[in-house]
Amino acid sequence: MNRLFRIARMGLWLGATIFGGVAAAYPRVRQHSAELGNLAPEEVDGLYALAVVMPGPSFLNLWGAVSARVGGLAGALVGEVALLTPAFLLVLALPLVAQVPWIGAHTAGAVSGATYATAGLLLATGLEGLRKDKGLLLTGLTLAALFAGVHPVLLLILVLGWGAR
Amino acid sequence: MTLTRLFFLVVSLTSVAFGGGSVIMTGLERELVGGGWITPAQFAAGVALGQSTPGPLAAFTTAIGNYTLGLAGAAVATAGLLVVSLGAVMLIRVVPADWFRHPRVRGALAVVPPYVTALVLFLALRMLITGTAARPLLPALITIGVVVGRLKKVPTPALMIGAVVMGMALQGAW
Repeated sequence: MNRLFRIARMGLWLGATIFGGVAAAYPRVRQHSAELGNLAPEEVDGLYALAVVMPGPSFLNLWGAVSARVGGLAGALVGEVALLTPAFLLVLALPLVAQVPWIGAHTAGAVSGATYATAGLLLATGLEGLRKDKGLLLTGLTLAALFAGVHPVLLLILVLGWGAR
Repeated sequence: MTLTRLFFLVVSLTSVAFGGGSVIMTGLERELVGGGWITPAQFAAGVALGQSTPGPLAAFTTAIGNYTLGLAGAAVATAGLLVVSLGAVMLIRVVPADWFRHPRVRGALAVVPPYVTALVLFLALRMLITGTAARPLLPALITIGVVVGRLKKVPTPALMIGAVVMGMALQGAW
């Protein structure tokens, strides 16, 4: 029960604070995986790779896979429901909030503010990654390939193959 | 549109969505806007709403479900995402933990952190490049403020609320 409670609490925290999808979530999940159970960061790397190549929302897949490792099927269910809850409540509440005249007139500004804040959060996560990771050359090459239009999933498969040599 | 039909629509689209929500988005637009169940403006609002809230980016599916059939539609659309993801998780669960400790697998997985760093930087730069062409001052101000705030460990919800209020107050001015 304690384990499921920890999964739910962390799922809610991730669901309420991570903007930008699975790429933004991965460093946080990796960082906090040890708090949940006996889960090594390398195992989270593997779960990330599998979550991205599986069908379905990658962030949900990653957190569900981590939760399943710690709490089995019940853990996966609790973790995924907790992860989705903040967004579920917000998408129901925000259209009601937008009915307030002043807020309704400034919706475009609010969406712009949220978009640039998400870009800022992603940028900060990337900068933290650059400071911690050792593979600067790989990061640079991957970035160039993404700007050249290579699909992220295909690129992940290619870099995993390169790493396995 | 019935709740059952919406559920199976989300399940079928999510089952073939690999590495992003574009398949779900395109399919929902074709079925719901094309079928006259919601307007193009409601669809666009649902996408914007879902993508500016925290959590999985696929939350736009919940928002579009809400516009289509209200609270029950939102719940059914979210359940569709959940069912497919739980199926994927059950497949991932079959992989034994020892597999991740195999030297060759460890070598492959060592590239994941630098790969994700590149992906995160790419997403941030693409958002800034596509969103700042006409008026770069407000985006620059919000983005730099959020980066500095994040590196100084300011809680994410506080940063997001500050950015939203700033966007509302200054939109059109800068």
